[in-house]
Amino acid sequence: MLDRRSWLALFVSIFIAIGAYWIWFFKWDIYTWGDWGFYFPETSREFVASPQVWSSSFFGGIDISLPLYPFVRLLPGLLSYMMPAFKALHIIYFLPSVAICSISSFLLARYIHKSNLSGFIGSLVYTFNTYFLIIRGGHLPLVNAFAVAPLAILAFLHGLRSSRTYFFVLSGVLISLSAAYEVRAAYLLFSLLFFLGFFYIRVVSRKTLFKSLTTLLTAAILNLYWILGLFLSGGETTDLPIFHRQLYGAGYSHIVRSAVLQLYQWGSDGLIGPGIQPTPKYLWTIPFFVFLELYLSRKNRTIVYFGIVSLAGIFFSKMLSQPFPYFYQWMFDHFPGFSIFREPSKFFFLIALGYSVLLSGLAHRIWINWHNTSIQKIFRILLIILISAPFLLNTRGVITGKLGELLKPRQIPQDYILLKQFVLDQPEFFRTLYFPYSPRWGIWTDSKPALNGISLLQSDWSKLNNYLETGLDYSYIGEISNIFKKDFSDKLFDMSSVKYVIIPLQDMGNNDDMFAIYGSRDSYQNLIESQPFLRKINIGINQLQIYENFEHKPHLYLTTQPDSIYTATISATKISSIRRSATEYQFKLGEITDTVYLNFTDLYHPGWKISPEPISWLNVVLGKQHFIPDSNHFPNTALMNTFALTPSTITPQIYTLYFRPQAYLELGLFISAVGYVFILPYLLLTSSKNFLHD
Amino acid sequence: MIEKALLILIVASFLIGVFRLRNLISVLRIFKFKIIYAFVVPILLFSMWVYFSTKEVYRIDNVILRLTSEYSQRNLDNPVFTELTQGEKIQGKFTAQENYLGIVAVRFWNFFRLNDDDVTFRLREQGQNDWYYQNKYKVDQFQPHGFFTFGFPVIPESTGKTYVFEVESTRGFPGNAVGLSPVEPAFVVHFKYPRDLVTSSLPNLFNFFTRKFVELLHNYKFIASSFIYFLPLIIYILYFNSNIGKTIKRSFVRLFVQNLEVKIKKIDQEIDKQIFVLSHNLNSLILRLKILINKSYKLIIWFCIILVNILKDEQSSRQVSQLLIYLAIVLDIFWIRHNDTTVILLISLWVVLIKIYNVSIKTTYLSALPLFLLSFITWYVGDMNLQFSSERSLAWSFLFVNIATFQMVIKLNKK
Repeated sequence: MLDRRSWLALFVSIFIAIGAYWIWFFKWDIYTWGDWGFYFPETSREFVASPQVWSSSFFGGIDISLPLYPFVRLLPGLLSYMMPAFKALHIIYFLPSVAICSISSFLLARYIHKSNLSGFIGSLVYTFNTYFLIIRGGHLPLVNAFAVAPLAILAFLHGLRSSRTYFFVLSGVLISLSAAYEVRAAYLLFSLLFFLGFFYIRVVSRKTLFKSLTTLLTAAILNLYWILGLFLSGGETTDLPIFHRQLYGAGYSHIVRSAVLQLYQWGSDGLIGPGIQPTPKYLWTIPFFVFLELYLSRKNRTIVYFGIVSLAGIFFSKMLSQPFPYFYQWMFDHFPGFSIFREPSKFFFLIALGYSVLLSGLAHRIWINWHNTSIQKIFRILLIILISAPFLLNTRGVITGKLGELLKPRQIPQDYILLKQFVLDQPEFFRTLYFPYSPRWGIWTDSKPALNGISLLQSDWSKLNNYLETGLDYSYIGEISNIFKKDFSDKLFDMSSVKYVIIPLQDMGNNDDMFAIYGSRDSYQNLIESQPFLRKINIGINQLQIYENFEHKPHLYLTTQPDSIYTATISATKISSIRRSATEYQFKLGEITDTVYLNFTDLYHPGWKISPEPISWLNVVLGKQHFIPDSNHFPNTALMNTFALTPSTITPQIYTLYFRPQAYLELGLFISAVGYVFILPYLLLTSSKNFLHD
Repeated sequence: MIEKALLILIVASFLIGVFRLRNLISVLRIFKFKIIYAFVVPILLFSMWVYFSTKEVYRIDNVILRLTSEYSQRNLDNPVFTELTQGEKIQGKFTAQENYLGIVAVRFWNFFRLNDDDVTFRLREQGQNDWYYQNKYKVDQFQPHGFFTFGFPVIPESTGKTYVFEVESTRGFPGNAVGLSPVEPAFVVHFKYPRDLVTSSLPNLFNFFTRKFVELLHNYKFIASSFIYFLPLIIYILYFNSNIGKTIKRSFVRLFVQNLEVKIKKIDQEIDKQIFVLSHNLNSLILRLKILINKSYKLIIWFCIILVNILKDEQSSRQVSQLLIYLAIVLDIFWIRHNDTTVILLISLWVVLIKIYNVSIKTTYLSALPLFLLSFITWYVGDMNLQFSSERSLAWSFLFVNIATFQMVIKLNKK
């Protein structure tokens, strides 16, 4: 437990952290930039639903953000009923990324060194190293996942030392919390704890080691819903593109930058610069002090452990740099799970963690050993200032608000608010397609997914577009105009349920001019206006250009012959359906005399099934649920789902369109829910007993 | 694969030779199998040196029947290291040292990206108006700071002639272009000797391999690598001399020293005789020369005996071994820079030293410090070449810290 002095030291650490990020704590505005998006409340309120394997966004697809369900969907959704969505995100992401980071690292360093000064220095190092400062400017889930990590390590370490199951369970819950922010961070964290257990194998009893397995068990139970949903659904969801991406980052990864804890964009002026920045000289003091402490603490098992963690961080984050440049590639190709680290900067977390413990240890060592003479007393203060100086210097850019664009408040342009109203006033399902790129302010909901033009042409529609120009001949406008030159472009838009094509604003007010990258706005306007199947509409908006595709197809529709982008428009009958979730739709079919085709305008996936019975996930898992034969299900030329319904297989009744892997998620969700029911009360009810004991 | 297997085999045999020595000695005494330590292990380590040095020759030239000349940036016209955009050229000049000129390889920098450009390579003899050869190449194959080889029909009579070459970008633009690498040597030229010519007669074969040998002696990278591959044998001999030699009677070192001592006696007798003859023949220059040579020879043998006797002491052997490894690391940092085999070998040797001489954590740890400082200095004061050395130097510092940490863990677990 913390005494008064410890509380004071903790308060000072948090005060410095909050002081540096004062803008986030005292100005609750909209902060959005780069990958960090923005939601309207109408979007986030729809998040309050059970987790789904299939995404409602874009054309659908396996939802790889499923592990993040608690913090990406459920909590923002719930909070959106009480406050604007951006404030909900502020509470869930912005504030913890600073406060939890500072608190958790303080507690870990204090626990290891039994010193408040260590806690303070540890907090400073962990919160204000260049890696965390930069990822706080856009990758907030990642920094939050890392912020939780020291607490999980602390709980596990204390579990090993005290042999109390409570702390192992707590550690498992904290790993799950980390996974709910970012799975890759949790993978690293879990590896750290595994290694910690292994490292203590000679000094703890077998009983304690056995108890430590509860960490794994707890984390596994609490995450089982997405593990089963994504990986154990009969191979239907395992072949995700995320596991087939190429390595990148070799150009800027370097052992020197890793050792001095400098992310490549970090400039000498404490700001983010373009390209690879020269290494500031003052950062070289960091590894010197770190490895000095490692040597001096060579008899301390815990310090040696954190030394190894730092060394592992340096080794992996340097990627193709010396020594052994090909080892990362080998790990990427062969080690289970390593392929999620296609870029090595995540390993800076290990360096930051190790360095925070080692530097805080050195500060404590100097403080307690140099106190005999007044010269020693002066020098110990100077040395501690020298140890903490690089991290205090790093805060310059944050305090002045110049470190990245996520420290600047933004305003929603009025046009997008009007667009939102216009889109949401229409009850039916349709998609909006933005050219060249979807703006952060564009409205999207489950029934009004938004499509990103360039991304679409470079992913799902790339084969249809078949744009082959490269080098000097390549241009974004060329790639986009290529799809409109196809004979099938009209049908493709129809069969993809695209109702509106929108050209976004040149958002100069928010310093977000996408046309500086993608070419002039006029060229896009001319291109879209020349399309005969798109008609410009006026909804009382000043600058946003909106074009309507009048012949777009509904989400579910019947045709008498297979619909194709290469044939003329055929008559389609809209099927009224009830959307139960992103993975389940109910619809009624009348009597049919001849084969008809049911078209479902989500991306084709073999996991989609039609059942004549109400769905029971248990029956699906046990293989007792009846579905119409798989041979009747195939992709159409627009890459969407088509089901051939023959009179022999269809009778007039209610049918369910179901995404089969969801059943496995439900099974996992059931087990996870039971886990929560037992684990959380256990932790809460026995907390006072366990914490007071220690 | 074969290389790795052989490396493992040799290191293993080395380790067996050193680590299991004490346990095995009693067994070996029974079987009178001293020959393993005195001959088999040294021969294996010597074979290792021969094998890896030959591999290094392949690594440098790719083909054994090839001679190579390296050229610095001074041989280029106004070398710039920025992106080579459309119409811009790299131009260079060299005088061929050999016949059968067949390849010019230029070191490029791809800015760590896949560029979409074509470059045109052209070559002609100085004074000629027409290009002897020109061709287009896609730059997406260019490796960062790696040589890209431009091959052309072999020129049999090239010795002494000066050639001009140029590489021109056809479609490069900022953000999508390669450039000249600032790493030395800027370009190399290869001379491809026909197999039939080399193997046609013994003098030709001898002539070619003499040239090849001379060429390798001028190649710092080869010399450094070869020295590193030779180190296991030296360190083994040092250890053998100080430890095993004591145990094994009539070891070759003792035999060597005894032989030397006998040799000195003989030389002394020879000198006495010559002095006696000289006293009767004052003007014999040849005799004086012979005495001088014999005295020098005696001096060298004395030096050998002193050296061997000094290195009989375990501490001296350890210090010399350590110094040799430090020297090898410095060579690796400045001359080799990119080779995992030398790193693995030197790390293994250091681990061996820890095992056989009980090198302390402190020594290992302190070895990291100068390398860290060297990395810091070279990172800021040098050009791209020194930055590679800085990287390698920090890598070595990092490896020493790793080894020391490993020692710490072993010590902790022992406790």
